[in-house]
Amino acid sequence: MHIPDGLITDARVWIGADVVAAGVVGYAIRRESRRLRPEEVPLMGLMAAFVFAGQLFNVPIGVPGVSGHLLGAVLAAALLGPWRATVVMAVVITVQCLLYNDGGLTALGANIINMGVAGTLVGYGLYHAGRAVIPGRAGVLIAAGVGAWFSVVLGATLVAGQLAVCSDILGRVDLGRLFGLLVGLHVPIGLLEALITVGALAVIMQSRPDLLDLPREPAPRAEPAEEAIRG
Amino acid sequence: MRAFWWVWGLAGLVVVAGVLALRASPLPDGLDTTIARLKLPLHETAPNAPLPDYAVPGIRHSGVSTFIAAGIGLLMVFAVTYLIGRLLSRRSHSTPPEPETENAQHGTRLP
Repeated sequence: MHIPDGLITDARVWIGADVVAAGVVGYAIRRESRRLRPEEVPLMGLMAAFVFAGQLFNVPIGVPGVSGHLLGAVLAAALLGPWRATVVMAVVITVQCLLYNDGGLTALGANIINMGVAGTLVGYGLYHAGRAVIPGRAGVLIAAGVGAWFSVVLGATLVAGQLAVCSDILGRVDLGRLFGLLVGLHVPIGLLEALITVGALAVIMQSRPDLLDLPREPAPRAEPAEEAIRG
Repeated sequence: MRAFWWVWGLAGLVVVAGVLALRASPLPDGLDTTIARLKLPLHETAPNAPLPDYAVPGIRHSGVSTFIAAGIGLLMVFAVTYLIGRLLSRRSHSTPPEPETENAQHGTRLP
């Protein structure tokens, strides 16, 4: 979903996206500067590394000739909270752009919005709402799956929207086909996103339920013995 | 050693990232497919990145090149995030300390 240089040539669009992205990321940094504790920093770094690794791995998506990869924004937001995840996604997307030219420099703001903020804020919002409706571990997994899928489809819709308003595309490209193709292709890519997100959270839930604000489940093996010793 | 538990995670991720990069599908993604099918106007620009397309210029063996390029990016992503995190957390500790700061490292003792 990385928009390359030379695709959005309408300055109003890419500069507008840069301004919005800078505002959101700037707010996220300011907000977390009062909350982050030193011992929480390594997990943030590892999450960024994990998202980077996941984004490297394109897989066929069931549509002939097309691949997709993880975005990881909802996964990061579920574990770090929406604002820290926004910072993490912005770092990953910026490094991809500067180091590999994966995603254009002029499109950096748009890419941060589409692949980062769409998931860390909107996808996370769905996740958060879903957890309020469905409690417990099942709620985490279902809500994360829905949020992750939606974040990819929303990201694709935003890409289509940004392209559609460009002066060299508006009026020359059938907008129905543009939206249909971009969003349609990202429906299965979103399923991949949901699958990886749910899988990763299911694993993390076993060892670190505290990261997901879940209580430790009374483990069937060790705990009773421990209680017996204490009592 | 416990203070640096994350080093092991990072080392594992470097290997995983390298392998994933090697195994990645070369097929175009959803956006590239759309650009091609709708013939969207794409003005080709010269790539001016140090590691264009996840390869290290000068390394002939494409597998080795991809593996190293992925590892460099992963370490850089971790380092930048870690640095930002350290800077932010230092700022949060110059304001009133948290209740449980026995080992306040940042000299925030109240007068």
